[in-house]
Amino acid sequence: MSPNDNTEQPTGEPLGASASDSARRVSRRHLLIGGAAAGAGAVAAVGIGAATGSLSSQSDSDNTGSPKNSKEYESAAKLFGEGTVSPYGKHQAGIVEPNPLQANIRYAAYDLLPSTDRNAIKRMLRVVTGDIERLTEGRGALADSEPELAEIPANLTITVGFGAELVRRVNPNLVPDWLAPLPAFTRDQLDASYSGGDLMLNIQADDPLTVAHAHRMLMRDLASFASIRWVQSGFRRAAGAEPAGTTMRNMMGQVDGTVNPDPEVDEFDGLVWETAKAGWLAGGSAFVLRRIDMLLDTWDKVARSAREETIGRDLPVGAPLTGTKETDPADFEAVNSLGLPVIPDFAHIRRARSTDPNERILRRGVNFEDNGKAGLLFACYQVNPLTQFVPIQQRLDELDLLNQWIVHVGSAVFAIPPGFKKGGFVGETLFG
Amino acid sequence: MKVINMKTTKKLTALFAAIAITALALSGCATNASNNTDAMATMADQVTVTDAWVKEPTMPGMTGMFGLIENTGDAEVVLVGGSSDIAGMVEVHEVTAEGQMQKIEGGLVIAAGKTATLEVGGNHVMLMNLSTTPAVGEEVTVTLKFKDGSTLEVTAPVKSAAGGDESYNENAEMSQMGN
Ligand code: HEM
Ligand SMILES: [Cu+2]
Repeated sequence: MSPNDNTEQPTGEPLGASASDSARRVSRRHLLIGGAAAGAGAVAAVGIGAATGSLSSQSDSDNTGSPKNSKEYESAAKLFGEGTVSPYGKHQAGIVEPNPLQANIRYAAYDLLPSTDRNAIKRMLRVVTGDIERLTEGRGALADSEPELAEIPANLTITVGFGAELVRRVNPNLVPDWLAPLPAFTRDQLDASYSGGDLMLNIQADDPLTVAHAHRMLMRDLASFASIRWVQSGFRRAAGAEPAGTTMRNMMGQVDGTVNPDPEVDEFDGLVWETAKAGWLAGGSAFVLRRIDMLLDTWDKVARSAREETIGRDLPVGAPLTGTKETDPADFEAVNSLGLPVIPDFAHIRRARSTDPNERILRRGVNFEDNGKAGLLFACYQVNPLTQFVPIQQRLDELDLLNQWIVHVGSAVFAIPPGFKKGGFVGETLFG
Repeated sequence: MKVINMKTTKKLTALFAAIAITALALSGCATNASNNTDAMATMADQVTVTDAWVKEPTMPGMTGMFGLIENTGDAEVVLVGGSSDIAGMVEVHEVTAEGQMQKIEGGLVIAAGKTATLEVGGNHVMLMNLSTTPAVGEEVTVTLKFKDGSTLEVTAPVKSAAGGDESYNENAEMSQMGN
């Protein structure tokens, strides 16, 4: 969504919304100027103080009939389950909006049936768009057999991606050169059941039942066009569990996502968003998903200091080893009393950092845990994986102490078409 | 701050919209008084159809249209049938307690201010003798016909419905209808 769309979403917030809820809709950088005047008896939600739960200070029992503890404040106020995110805009929702991103994430990849030709793809995308529009508004899909499940949108977004085969069937001349399996990396142990796909849906919401229902509706509509290839589910902390804007932690306990391009600071056009040069993809993006197993049993045996050196950041707050706060810039030149680099040569952040500012990616990792495995669904957006993700991963593949405890087992690349307007449909520019 | 501004804008917009509607209604009265009395409004005029969809056919030659038909008027309306480019016959059907479907004798009566729900397993608009098999994502146009002869055109996307078979038990009566 472009910044202009911010005021459009989420909709219908009554005054006196809960603190965490108000904070959710104000981006992290606006927290301090956020805050809403409130009517009589309503709670004023003001900035970080409210977001971190200082409401409890107002919550001592009294005899005015007002709520007595923060729990009651929460239930009297708007529920986050009512939150909606507009699916319309220059870019698809679910990439930089909403901010913070949702707690429950599902990636689903489909293979097109042989009969799904250009016309059928167009019909398919119209149906998918109809579902996206209704479900993200909190309305049942058309022909929804369980419309009650759609009534809690919980900031639902559904982002659509295309594999090379889908683009080829619409117009073989429009397949970007990077839309293909990534070059093999020496440590890869890829499993086809977590790789590839012709069509990808990324379904995200703050409620797991919302995600499951949305996917069921979409799956039903896709049945006459495509067959399911793989589903990968991930999670962040539950909505409202911690102050809005907190960087997520991965299953290794690390603060993960600190150094990331920021739409309010960095120019995203040409870095994350495709520009006019990309033709039908302008306003879209290139998406890479890597399923990475973590070998947590052996990782857990590693001393804390060694774990911190592996990344180059500490565990308590995610500060670089050369600093004290998460936001401190890493000093890669600093040496200790022995003359050795404080952030070791093998450290993940040293290897991942490029001197070329174009060689950056928007990381959107989430945790997974299923079938006895745990790890990271490493996801990233960029304009060209071959010049952004690939050189970074080549360096990591070559040297990164973290490699001792991680294995890349899945890999997929999708073109993310631009956003769409009411009356249009996702991917329409492909038919231009 | 942002939030408040948005609210205010929304409220104002709503207010302007209300004024605009009033103005429209008034001008409508002045220019075309004969069309503005309830007595003259046709049944089709007082009906709003939303969420219409047509089920991807699961049986040869027939399918159903579903959705919400709201009677926004002061008098009852009766839906008696319809027509469609893709169907040789369009009827208003109900499903009996035994799970059989049949034509609603006298049509589907919708009282003033009420909404009739056309749903899988319940009342529906039956499209029979299909000349083509509509595919998921296509749009089907159906003209609904009311008791007073007025008609209303509805465009509905085709969707697949899970478990839709509950209303399409292959019983003798059903296959007769299809022929
Ligand atoms: C399970 C695998 C991985 C884990 C556990 C992991 C963990 C981390 C952590 C804890 C940080 C430091 C905090 C931060 O800035 O986010 C980090 C930074 C980073 N990671 Fe990873 N990462 C993994 C895989 C990858 C992969 C596959 C790539 C890309 C090919 C990557 C690229 C980066 C980048 C670009 C940074 C920021 C470096 C900087 O400029 O400071 N990571 N990662
Ligand atoms: Cu019938």
